[in-house]
Amino acid sequence: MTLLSDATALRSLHARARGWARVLKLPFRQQRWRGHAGEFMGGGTGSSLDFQDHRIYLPGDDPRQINWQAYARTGTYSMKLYREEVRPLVDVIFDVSASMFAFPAKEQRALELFAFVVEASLQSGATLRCHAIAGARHQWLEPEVILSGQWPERVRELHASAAAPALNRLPLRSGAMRILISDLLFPGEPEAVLACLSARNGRGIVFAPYASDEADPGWDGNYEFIDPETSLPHEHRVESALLKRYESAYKRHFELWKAAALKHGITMARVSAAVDFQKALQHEGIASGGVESA
Amino acid sequence: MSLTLANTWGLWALLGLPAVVAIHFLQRRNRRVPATTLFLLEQMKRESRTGNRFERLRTSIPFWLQLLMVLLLTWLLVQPRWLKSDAVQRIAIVMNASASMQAFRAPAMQAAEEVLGLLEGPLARAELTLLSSDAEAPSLYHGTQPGELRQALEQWEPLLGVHDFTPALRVARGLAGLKGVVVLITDHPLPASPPFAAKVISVGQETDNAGWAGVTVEEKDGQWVWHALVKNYSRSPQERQWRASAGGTESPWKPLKLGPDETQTLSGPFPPGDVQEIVLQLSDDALKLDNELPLVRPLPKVLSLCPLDAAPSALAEMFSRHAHVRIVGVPGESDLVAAVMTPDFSLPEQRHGCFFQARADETAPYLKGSIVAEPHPLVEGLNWQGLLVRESKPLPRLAQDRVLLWQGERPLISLRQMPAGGRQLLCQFDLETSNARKLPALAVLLHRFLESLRGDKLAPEAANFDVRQKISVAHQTGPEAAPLMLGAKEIPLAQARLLRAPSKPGRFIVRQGGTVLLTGAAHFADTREADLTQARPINEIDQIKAVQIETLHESDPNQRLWLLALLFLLLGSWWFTNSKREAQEAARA
Repeated sequence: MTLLSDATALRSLHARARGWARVLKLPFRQQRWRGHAGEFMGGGTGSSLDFQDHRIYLPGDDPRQINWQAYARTGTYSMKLYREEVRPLVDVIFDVSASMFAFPAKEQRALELFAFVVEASLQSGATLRCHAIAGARHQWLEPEVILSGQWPERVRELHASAAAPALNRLPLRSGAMRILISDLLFPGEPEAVLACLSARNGRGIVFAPYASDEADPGWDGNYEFIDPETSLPHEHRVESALLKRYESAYKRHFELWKAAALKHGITMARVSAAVDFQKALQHEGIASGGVESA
Repeated sequence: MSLTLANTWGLWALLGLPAVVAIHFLQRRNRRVPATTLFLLEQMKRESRTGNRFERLRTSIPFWLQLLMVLLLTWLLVQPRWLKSDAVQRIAIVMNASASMQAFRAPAMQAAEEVLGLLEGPLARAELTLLSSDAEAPSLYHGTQPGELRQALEQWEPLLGVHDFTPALRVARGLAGLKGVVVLITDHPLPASPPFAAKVISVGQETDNAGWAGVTVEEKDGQWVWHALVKNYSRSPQERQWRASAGGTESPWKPLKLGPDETQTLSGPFPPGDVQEIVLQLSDDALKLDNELPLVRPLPKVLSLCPLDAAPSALAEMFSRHAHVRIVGVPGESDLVAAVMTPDFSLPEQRHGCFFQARADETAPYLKGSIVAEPHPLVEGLNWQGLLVRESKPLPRLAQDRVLLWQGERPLISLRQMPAGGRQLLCQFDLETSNARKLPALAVLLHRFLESLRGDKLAPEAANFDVRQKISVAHQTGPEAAPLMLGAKEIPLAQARLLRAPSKPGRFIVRQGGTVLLTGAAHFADTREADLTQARPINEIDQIKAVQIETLHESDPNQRLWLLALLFLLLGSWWFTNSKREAQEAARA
């Protein structure tokens, strides 16, 4: 039984993720937010205790905001403005293509990332919206379904797709933090994906789990590679020279993604599946700005 | 330096080479692994496309170590030997001289050739001996040249009957030495392993054979008639043809059907006239020796007997009933005399004779006491217990008398060898008052006595013999006597008692000077040799090789070193394999 098919294990994973979310937070403080009242600084004025600015009183303003001490000194009505506190919007896009679950370690790390992002969002009071996506198909996941561990049943039919996730089909909210959890292992330019993450004032974050079986496969000889998406075999013979070129291509693939992410102002963190999750996230996420310490 | 493999089965270990190669191929062959980065592979490499079911050979250290291990293991298993620099190859081949080997002559020569093929290295160091299993025959070859041995082998002619191989094998072992190879080439399995560590190569195979198995010739109504046995030795019915030839004429072939193991008797008269010889022939088969049966018209020696004056007519009549005895009236022309010993009778000194006592007193009592026969060929096996003899005065006993029969203390029959040469049988009882004439023992005794005299008689004779049958020919003796001649072969008089009929079927004549003593015909009738159903192949050439390798070769002195090297290679292969795996795992971690 894999982790993905075990609802109990998924719930247990969420319990652990709550602990991780108390140590590491999503980078909500790095941005002004719009939305419903909440705990994070909004882009406009509000009723928080944080002073923001002064301005001349205009008719229609709330007279309770008039700075009477300034009026006493200057004889002019002036307003004291405070920072708005809002609940951030978080759109989580979880790539559920079969490659994400091709290796047990990678599956574990992908589910851990998903659980962490969900729990971190919920703990921060963000308005969470989750989408499971595989190629052109996607499925909206309610937080209750996610927390109950039943969500894999909803996305079962989405797995088999080797195409890039079609983020442009998702109803991503304006100004939301858009977190994509994907291994980014699909052909095509990164621009199409990353543009969707940064469009309409979106704050894009990409968490890319990876396994050593992909980064350093150590192939040597004849192989029958099984495509996880199609389950079709592909026979290849790999020699050391070819392996080196593969490793170079793999590295270049992610360098392209990183460069494209930088161009779009998107944070990209590759999270290794080989070490403990918290260490991996601290190592990769904090350095890249994908997470921050509590 | 000649290299020999003591255990060629060890070469099977070389199969380990392809096995190792296959393992190294197959262990990397088409391992099924999930790959999430197939799009990267598809983009970059056409050279990794499918098509190579087997991977190209890689020069990994464990691979070469394992190949080297297989080679070393093979080297150890095949037990390589080198010919010793001071080795002398001694091979003694003993050819079975039994007549049945005639049927397998070609395979036997091939087997000898096979044994010669074991010779290695410089032939100057070989000592080859070729012997016949006939212990009396000289060795066929002793030298160093296989070619000369092959020529000598052409002279090998097996004609003996069943005989013991031990004497020939003893001689062969003596010539080959303790470490030499002694090979007995025969045509049937031996009941037990041959002595003197001899190895056996049997070239025989069960073969059908039919042939003459014996003959008797008898005189009937004044005509000589032959009765020849022809036997089918095989387990299946056989069809042959036979004919008789005599005096340059041959009868037409007549069909002859013989059931399995059946014996038939063919009979016929000798042709009239002066034709003295006939030959019976069977159509050819595997064994030719028994397909020809030469016969001569028998001509027995006739003994002339002269009853002396006092002899009753009954005495002459008694002797005349014996075959080939002629009664003559003149003592000087006779070979022996017969007489009744009257009181005034004196025994002739120079003549052979048979003498009985004069009529005894009819009132005299019969002799009492047990009758005892002396061990002598004339009385051997005869029963005298019914003999009733009346008491009478016995002859004085001389020193040259040999008593053949006693009753109590009284001699009944004596054999006297007269100093002048006469041999006389003295029967100290009379024929009238005793019952001796009714006893078969007396008739047999007289027959034996006559035969002994007939054998010593110098007269021409004709008879039929088995091949190699012992022949006794009366001949002149003395320093001036000429040697005997058997055909063209001279037989010294000292060896006359060893005279035998020829080994091959055929007619022969024994002469002394210009006198023909014996005309004979030898025929093959050894049913044990003619029976080829027990012939079976056996080949111990591998054991011979092993013995030769063991004695002439020295083993690899570095064997222990190779064993140690094998161990190191094993450890090295294990270490390299594990270290590579660990390095890969560390790299992944």
